[in-house]
Amino acid sequence: MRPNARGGDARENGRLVAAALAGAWRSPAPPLALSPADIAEITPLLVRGGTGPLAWWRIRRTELQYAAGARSLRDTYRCDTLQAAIHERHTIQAIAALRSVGAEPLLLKGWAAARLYPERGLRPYGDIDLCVRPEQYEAAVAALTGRAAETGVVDLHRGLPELYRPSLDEVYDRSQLFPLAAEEVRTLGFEDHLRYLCIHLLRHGAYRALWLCDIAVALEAAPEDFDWEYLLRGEQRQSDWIICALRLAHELLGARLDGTTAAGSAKRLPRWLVPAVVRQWGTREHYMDSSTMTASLRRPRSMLKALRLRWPNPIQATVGVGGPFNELPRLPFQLGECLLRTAHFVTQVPQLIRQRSVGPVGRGAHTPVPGERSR
Amino acid sequence: MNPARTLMPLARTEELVVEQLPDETLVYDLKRHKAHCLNHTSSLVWQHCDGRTTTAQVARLLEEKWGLPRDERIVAFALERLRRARLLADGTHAPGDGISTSRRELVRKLAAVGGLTMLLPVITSLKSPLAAAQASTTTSAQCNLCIGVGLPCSDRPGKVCTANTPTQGKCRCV
Repeated sequence: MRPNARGGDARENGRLVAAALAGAWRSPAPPLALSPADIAEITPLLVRGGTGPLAWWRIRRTELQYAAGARSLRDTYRCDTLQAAIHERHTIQAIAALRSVGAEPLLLKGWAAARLYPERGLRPYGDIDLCVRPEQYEAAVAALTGRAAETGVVDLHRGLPELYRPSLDEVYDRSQLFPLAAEEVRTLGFEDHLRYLCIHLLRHGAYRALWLCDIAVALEAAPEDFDWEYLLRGEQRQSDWIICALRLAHELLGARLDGTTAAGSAKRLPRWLVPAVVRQWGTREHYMDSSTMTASLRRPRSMLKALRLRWPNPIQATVGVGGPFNELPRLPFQLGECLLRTAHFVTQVPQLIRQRSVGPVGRGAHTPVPGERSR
Repeated sequence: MNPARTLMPLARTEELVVEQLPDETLVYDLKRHKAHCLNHTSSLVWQHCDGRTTTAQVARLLEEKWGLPRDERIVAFALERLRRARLLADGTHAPGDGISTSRRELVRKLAAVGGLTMLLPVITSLKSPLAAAQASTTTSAQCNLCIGVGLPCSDRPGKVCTANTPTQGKCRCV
């Protein structure tokens, strides 16, 4: 195993992160059997993974609140509490702007995931992910243009191809409205919300522990009439992915699966999967926290590092090429994903150059590129 | 103290985001992009910055609620901290001019009455939640779409993504 930057082992640290977060979203949070030294060691990892507030929530009434690093967790919690209030204002403004041009947005992740946590501020926010119908996309971009100060950073999605649903109409039909201040926010229906979280986690290689916490929280908040058949409807490959993500939440974070379809499934997690996830959580460097590949092209010295960081992890590679989660070696998937990403990057270069020469086009939608943060 | 000046000043209410937690109050200044954390005593003083309550009344409240000595200098000390953090309304004065509000003196006094120094009104600064929430850097291509305003541009060393440049309403790495 590769030693970590501060002498710890990435997998061991990743396991400590998992231990710190297991059940941390519950109220009251279960007791934690880590030492103050463990907390100090993993604090930077928790903060980087967006789970600093959850870790603080868990230790704040214990002796561990005095551990080195705990202050940093507390500050993250404070900071995210304020940020949540600001983000909610932005969300309301962005939704109002889109509705003013007749587009009805669906809110993905963000507040839709955070509302299930016991307290505001336990789940940090990044940009605002909103989905509109493809035919409303251009009008939606125009509505958001030049309004960054009011709406914050909006990641506008043209439909939801990443949900692998044949009909966006059905997704809208099953969507739900929740009050947020004076506005009503439309979120995915519970089943689609959980499905989206699972696919998103795997697409990004389970890099942020926060995403698995989101799944665990949604799983435990599922209503009694939760439609498991609808959650798993569609291609068998995606259904297997979702079951894998749910089982990961159970195995690493102790999410309750009893009585669910995922618990009854005969599918086992491949042996490489849990080690791959904990290694992600215990690693101090990741391409999503570094400069973009375009920026690295201008600094040849950073190219090698950028390329090394972009070597796809087995989870990301499997989903990237649409592969199965089984016991077969992952190297072919990783090579395939690398080729796909390189080809994609090459096709994007002219567009990036054009954007630079055309200049500002105003605020609006964008396609997330490697290096961009997603929460 | 001049009786006319013993009224509490007005708290600033404009362009602030306030979050009340059980142990403290968090405040984000939307104008200056600064975040503050008020401990329970400075929070109580700020809550009574209404232009009607007197400093003596607040000193009594601090005594009743937290067991602090009934001393208007503690109130004046908190008000001075609030003024420095720009959490008082513009144009209002912080009473206590002429009253010694040295931190050292207050610490000595509170220590003498049973180690109450932890109750000294404190306002700490936090890093900006907006900056922390977004990526640590952006690129000029993203900035042109106004993604990552306020962040350094990773492909333009020394430049920051800025909105409302002379080309009004647009964003550039400058």
